[in-house]
Amino acid sequence: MAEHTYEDIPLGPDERTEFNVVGRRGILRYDGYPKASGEAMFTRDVYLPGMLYARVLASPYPHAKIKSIDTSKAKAYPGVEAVITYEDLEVISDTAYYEGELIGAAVCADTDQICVEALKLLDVEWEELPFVIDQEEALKPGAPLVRPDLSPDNNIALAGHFEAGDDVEKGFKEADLIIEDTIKWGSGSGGEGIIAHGGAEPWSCVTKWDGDILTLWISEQKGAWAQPKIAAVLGIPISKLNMRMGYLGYSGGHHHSNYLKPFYKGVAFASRAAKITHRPVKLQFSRRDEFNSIDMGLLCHVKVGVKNDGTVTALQKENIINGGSDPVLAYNWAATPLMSAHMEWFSGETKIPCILINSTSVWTDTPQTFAVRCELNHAAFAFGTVFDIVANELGMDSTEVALKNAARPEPSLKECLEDGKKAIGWDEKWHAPGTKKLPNGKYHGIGLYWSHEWGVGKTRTASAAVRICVDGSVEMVGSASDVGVAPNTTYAMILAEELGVRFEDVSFPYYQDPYGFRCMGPGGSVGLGTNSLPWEECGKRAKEALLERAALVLSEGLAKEVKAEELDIRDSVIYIKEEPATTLSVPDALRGTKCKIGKGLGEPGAKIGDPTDLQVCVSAGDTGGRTFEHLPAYYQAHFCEVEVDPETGHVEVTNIVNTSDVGKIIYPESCEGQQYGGSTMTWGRAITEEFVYDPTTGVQLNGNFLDYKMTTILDCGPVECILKETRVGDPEETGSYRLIGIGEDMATTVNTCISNAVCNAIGKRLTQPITPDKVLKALGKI
Amino acid sequence: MRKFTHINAKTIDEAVSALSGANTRVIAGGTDLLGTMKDEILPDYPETVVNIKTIPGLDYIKEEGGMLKVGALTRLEDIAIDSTVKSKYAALAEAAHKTASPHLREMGTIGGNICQMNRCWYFRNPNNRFDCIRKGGGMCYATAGDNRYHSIFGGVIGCMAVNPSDTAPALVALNAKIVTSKRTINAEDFWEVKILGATVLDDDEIVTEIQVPEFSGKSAFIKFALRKSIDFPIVNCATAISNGTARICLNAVFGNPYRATKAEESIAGKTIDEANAEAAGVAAASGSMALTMNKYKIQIAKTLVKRTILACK
Repeated sequence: MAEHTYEDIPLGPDERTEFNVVGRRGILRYDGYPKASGEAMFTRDVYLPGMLYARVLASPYPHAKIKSIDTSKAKAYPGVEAVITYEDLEVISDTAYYEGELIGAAVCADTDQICVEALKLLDVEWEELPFVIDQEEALKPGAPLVRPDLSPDNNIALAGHFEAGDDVEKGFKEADLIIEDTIKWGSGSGGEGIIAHGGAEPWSCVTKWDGDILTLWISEQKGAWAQPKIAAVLGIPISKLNMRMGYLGYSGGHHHSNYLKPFYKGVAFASRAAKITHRPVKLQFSRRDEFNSIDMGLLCHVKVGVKNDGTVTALQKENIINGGSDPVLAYNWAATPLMSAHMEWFSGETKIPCILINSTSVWTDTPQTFAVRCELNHAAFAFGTVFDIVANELGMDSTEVALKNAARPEPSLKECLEDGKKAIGWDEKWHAPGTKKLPNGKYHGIGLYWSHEWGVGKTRTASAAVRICVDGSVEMVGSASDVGVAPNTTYAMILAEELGVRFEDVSFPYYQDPYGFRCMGPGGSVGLGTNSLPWEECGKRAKEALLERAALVLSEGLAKEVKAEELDIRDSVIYIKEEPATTLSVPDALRGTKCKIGKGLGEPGAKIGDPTDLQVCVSAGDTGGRTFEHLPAYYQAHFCEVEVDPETGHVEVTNIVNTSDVGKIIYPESCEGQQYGGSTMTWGRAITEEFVYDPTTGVQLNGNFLDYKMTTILDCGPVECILKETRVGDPEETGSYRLIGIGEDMATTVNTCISNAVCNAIGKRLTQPITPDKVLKALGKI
Repeated sequence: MRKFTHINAKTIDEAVSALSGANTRVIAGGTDLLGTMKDEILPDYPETVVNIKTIPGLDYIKEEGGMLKVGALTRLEDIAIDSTVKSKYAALAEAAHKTASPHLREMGTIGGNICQMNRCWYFRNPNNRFDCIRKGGGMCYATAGDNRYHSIFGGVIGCMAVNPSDTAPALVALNAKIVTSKRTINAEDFWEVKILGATVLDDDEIVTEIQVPEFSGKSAFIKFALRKSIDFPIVNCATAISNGTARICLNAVFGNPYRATKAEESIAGKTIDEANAEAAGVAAASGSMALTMNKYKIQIAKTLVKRTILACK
């Protein structure tokens, strides 16, 4: 809004401008070979001696209550060790709110297959209840009530009203043109456009008791937050819950046991089974179970007041959001990032002086809705669509509309737009919507998406420790989440940079215990923005401590006083700044004070002191109160071209250019990996991905990777990656070296760029996914 | 996955003998069968699975006696890259190349591809969730449900599921014959919608060879699917034109591969040009009747007929 100030903050004298490790190309990510070769151990790869298996009952109905369960046949089945029902375990529900919901009972047996058979032997008496899948249907009078326990009168979970700036009516009066439109994504009938996480590893856990301490291997991206939640669910102290998390592959916001009840309830079942049987228990979701996690949907009526030059004077939005069936989203999430994000995007990123947004979250008999890389999908979609609508209505080039309305067009957005336009050939290729047919008979379209880069959180949960071992190798200690920009490798680059050691001397193992040190972003998002700070600080402190030790050793060896501040270290070699030829290795620095300089351990003449490791840690909070209030400093601009076949309705994305200003690049290949990967992922969101529910039974029809159509690298055309580092962000609002994230915004935004390009091609705006039936209908072919 | 008995057959006779037992299935590449077993989509679970990959000599591509002979165990990828098939039977090579994904083409066989069960998300919903007409139940759930990928030419025995094979229409267009352990069947007579079945094969009958008569004309195959990486066809079409005579077959539009005879008549003897090809496409769609959600498939079918004809120019 207008009261914000957007002055560039120049780099301070103490800010690093020369880098040795950070920004270097050619570093191999730690998890690359293990994942590619199959060595990487995921949670379901954990096998313990004597381990049993558990499975949970899935509701065959979208809304039903268990009246009774007779477990006798299941208990009698050979190999069954335990059957647990909602009557035994308070946290387990007896009511299902979507088809496939895991509720009511679990069985524990010698093999996973025995569990499958035993579940079939549970004699369950269900009371089927009326259900509603579509959010628009759910709002109609007389619609079945999804959560009568929480909303007895209607299916409205929550309503929010947001205003920024002046009264919108004033803004509309100042407009030359008022545009009204209805846009939607993921709110159609039968699951249309609802997208899934489709995590790489379906969620799993292994539980093992040792007295009153529970060791829990778990597919979890957010151990720092999950640990207190799970401990509370189990009724044990946090200190007695030993969580082990490692490789996740992709989870996209899904593996959050602190929020998602199928997970913490799964842990409750498995830990109870392990307690009863005194044996380790593994509980793993099927692929279809994993598909019971979805993004919310948005139906949005927009009213935009705009001047003839493209300046928006007022914006009004009426949002209806599919909140799914669980209060975690409807109350916690919809209330904060999902509803208010719509306001923050427009108020924080633009100069629009008058904004009014009303949001309503609706209960439906669909799974718990949650962030699907990421929770800002719909705010970003609305943002990108509104400015495209404005450009089309005015017949303007959308890059001009961007510069007119962005809160802070220079320098970042302007540079991103210029680079991107040049790379894709915007000036030669841009045309009015629906006006260009190619020689191959297809419509050509070109589209733009622009917004800020995001990636720094408000909270300071990250802590970290480093151990410099007696041989000079460096171990990073902290529980990291296998999510985001090759996190362990990227953090190691920052640590090596600050500590002055070679990257190869640093290791950051997976499956560390989360006690104490946990480098976890606050919400599964903003990993690098948050976690770069403790690692940067850790590296600085460790270097200071190491040079103190080195100063002692050198003082004795050289028989003169050498102070730590006279020393520096580069590429793992300590040296006196004034006499760079006088060096000391890291192991020598750690050997205490009784050694001769230049003699390695075991060499003749070396007096061996008592080598001791050096440990340094940074606690959560030590890195200061950095915040992120959606003040845009860094921008992204995505461009794409499409060809639309008017005879089949097929949309081919022929070219994508991503221009991302990330402030400071740490690991270039990883940033580009996010650009390639995000583009590939979002391709499907634009064109192929959606859930399908049977309208009569409410049963999900496509919970598998064949029928739920994610796109892969084989589906996609060229993607050009352009990275920028303007470093103009406020150091108080960014990560180390003024960096900002790149991972989430790629997958969240490029789909809207593709939608805009299809609109440019055929002159009509279609709802994602843009499937052939919609295109053919829009073109009047069917 | 539930337990079952697995038999490695060494000869065709041994396989046939094993298959005559109750509740027995044949496995080659396994890319269809194992999915149905893991998800437990069928009312009965096979007690015995007879592996025919262990039968030697069923994996070959050769020209012999005025025809192309392809062993039933030949993998799709081998057909896709074979130079003879590519040059003389282009529709078949292209169909094999467009089947499934690179990984599955290395596993799946031509015999399995033409014998695969129908695709339908009601039929294939895990744990036999829908007792549909194709399983002997009382109704087709797709008729009133989500039928975006279903038949545009009506049902067979009331079932609206489609045959999903990519190679099947190419074999029909090329007038192939399917040799089994019992008989030789014209390709277009090979498929038959029946309860828990998609072919005319008896329970104890296996495909041994595909024979394609020497073909000197031009053939083409086009698949329309949402993804390139992996997908069954929304519609596919193969056309073979020789001496002014066309054989045109669509698939994924009906319970069996659908020979578009009206399109064949429309283009017969005519110059292959845009207008005639377009007219043939329109003719192909005559008699079509869309369900509630799949009218778009008729437009795509027309287009693929037109484009495959033009590709034979």
